[in-house]
Amino acid sequence: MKIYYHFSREGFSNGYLVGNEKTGKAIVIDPGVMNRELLAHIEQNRYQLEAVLVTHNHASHHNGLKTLLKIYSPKVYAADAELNGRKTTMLQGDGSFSAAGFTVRYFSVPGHSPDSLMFQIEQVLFTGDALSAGRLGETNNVYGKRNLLTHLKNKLMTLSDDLILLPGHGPPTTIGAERMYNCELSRDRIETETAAVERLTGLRQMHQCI
Amino acid sequence: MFSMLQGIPQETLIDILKHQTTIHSIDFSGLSFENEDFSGKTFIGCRFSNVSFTGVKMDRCRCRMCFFEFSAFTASSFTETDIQFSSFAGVRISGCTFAGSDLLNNNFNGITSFDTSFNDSDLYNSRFIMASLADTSFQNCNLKKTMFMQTPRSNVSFKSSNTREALFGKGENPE
Repeated sequence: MKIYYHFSREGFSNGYLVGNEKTGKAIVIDPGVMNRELLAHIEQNRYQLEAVLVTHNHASHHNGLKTLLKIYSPKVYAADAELNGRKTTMLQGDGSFSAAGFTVRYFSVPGHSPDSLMFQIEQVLFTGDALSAGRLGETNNVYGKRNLLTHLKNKLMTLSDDLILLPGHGPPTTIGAERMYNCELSRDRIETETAAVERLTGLRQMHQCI
Repeated sequence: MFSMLQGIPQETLIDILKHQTTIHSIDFSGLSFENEDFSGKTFIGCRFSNVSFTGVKMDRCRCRMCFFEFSAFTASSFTETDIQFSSFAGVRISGCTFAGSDLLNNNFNGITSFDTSFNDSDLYNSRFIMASLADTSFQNCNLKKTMFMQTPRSNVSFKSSNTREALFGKGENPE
């Protein structure tokens, strides 16, 4: 599996191209913008674009879809029946399907938006806007936040620490890092300021020994 | 690009690190490096989790989608590096320098940094959530969209940096 990271300057969102070297097929996740760079990645690797996965129906995550569909004919997977006037293969709840020779698992995580999905391909999970490094996805109200937290705790925090999380915005992370440093996700594990000061004192002492 | 090769013998891994200039998708987790010079190398989709770097030179290195999580950097040099879309979550950094680097879209959440310099670096869209910083300087840095939240700081300097464009936690004053 090869993953190409693609940053959209329009919505400051992350898009990804996942290529399967064995089948020569590829998947695009959240085409926030369709530009020459993404096109070059597909064409230079001679990928056959088989699917587009959209984590949720916000423009910064599917603005490039219209152009992409003018060039290629992939199946579009989303939790919304229609995106930009294009019919999609609708995904509801949790489940899995095959695309580009991969088994794609999907998890419904409403909260940031009612149609939010996360997609897992092998050891990588594409979280969309449900979760980013150290932060929970933005929600409109307390109910949405509680809903998102419950889904993330039940579906995400049960997965392996090594699992890589590639979010819709911001830098990459892992489940292990989120368990430690996402205070909203693991409030019971919040490191107190005292503990942080103790860590720094230890580091100071270590430095003095060198 | 990211597709991890695992289970490579340790000697082979060290050999790859020493002799190849561009390294793709290799898992170096759990190794220790002391007084090595990896300057100028390119790492793409590599994993360095729980790795110990002591007195290591990684000046002018280029990293994309690399994971250095829970590693320890001691008295090491990362000057003028170009590290983007990588994770340093939970790393312990002591006596290191990242001066003059492009550190865009990186995850520094939970790092413990002591006696370290990020001066003259571009930290656009990077995150320092729940990090502990002491005697660390961010002078003349681009801090646009850089997040410092729940980050205890002691003797941290942001002189000549655009702290107004950075995001600090509620009640956390940059100075």
